[in-house]
Amino acid sequence: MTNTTTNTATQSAAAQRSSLAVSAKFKAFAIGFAIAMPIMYVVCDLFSLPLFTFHPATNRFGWGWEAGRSGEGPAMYWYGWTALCLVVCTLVGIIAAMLPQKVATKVPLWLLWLLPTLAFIPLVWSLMPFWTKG
Amino acid sequence: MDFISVNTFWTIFLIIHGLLAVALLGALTHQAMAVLSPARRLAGPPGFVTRFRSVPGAGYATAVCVLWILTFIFGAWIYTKYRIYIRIPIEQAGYWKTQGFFELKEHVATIGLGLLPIYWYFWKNPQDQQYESARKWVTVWLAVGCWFAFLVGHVLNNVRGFGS
Repeated sequence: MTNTTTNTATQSAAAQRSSLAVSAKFKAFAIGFAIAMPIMYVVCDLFSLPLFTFHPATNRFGWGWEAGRSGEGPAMYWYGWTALCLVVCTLVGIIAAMLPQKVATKVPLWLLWLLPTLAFIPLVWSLMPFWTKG
Repeated sequence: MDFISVNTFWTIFLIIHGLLAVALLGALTHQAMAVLSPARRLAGPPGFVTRFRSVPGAGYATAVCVLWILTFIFGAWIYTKYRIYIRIPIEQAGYWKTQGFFELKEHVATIGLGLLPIYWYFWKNPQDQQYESARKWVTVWLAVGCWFAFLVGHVLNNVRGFGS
């Protein structure tokens, strides 16, 4: 009787979990997405690779990297970096989801928190002018 | 938008951004404490710290993802005004390190965004032992990132926020 009750509760709990939470493909997508993000973000930051440039004073967008125009205020690249990262990481995630399931199981899960942490070494270094001025 | 001034509009946005960040901070701190120092059964009544870390972490996962994304969107929206009306005076005043920390805050927010899908997946499979370590450290990473972003935002608001 106790076993039956436990099994029913387990089945009920499993049924309540969304299909994404038990999907191996989603897991592979999420691992690919998470690993690609810090790498891609560092590349975008260090090599100035925004998908677009936003000029906030004039609300103007331009594809790729554009310098701030004279008399039109500063240019913003963070939106473009973020957009490019999201696009590329989504593609990496989709490719990861299409790979055989055993590939995702071979990825060391500690990379998921170590890579975002290590990403801050070049990111902090790239901000050196801010740390050394004044 | 005639019924509201431009300043009031952006002030409301900044307050919403801040309130969302507070909610996110609370949820992530509870969760991080729960994974770093899980509560054990005690003979007597539990104290404040035990209660604080006794939360069922899995129940926070979807809320944390939604809050991170909403806080991110509001922050990204405000950033357009920040770039012109806050950053330029901060640079003119020579607060270079303050601005440097803001740059790090935007990095943390975006890289944290990339962790959300796998964070959610880990927490939706809380019984799976193979994810235990990764779930713990991804959660701690997000909690530390959230605290960092919150404190930098708070300091920036003190430097040049409301009323400046």
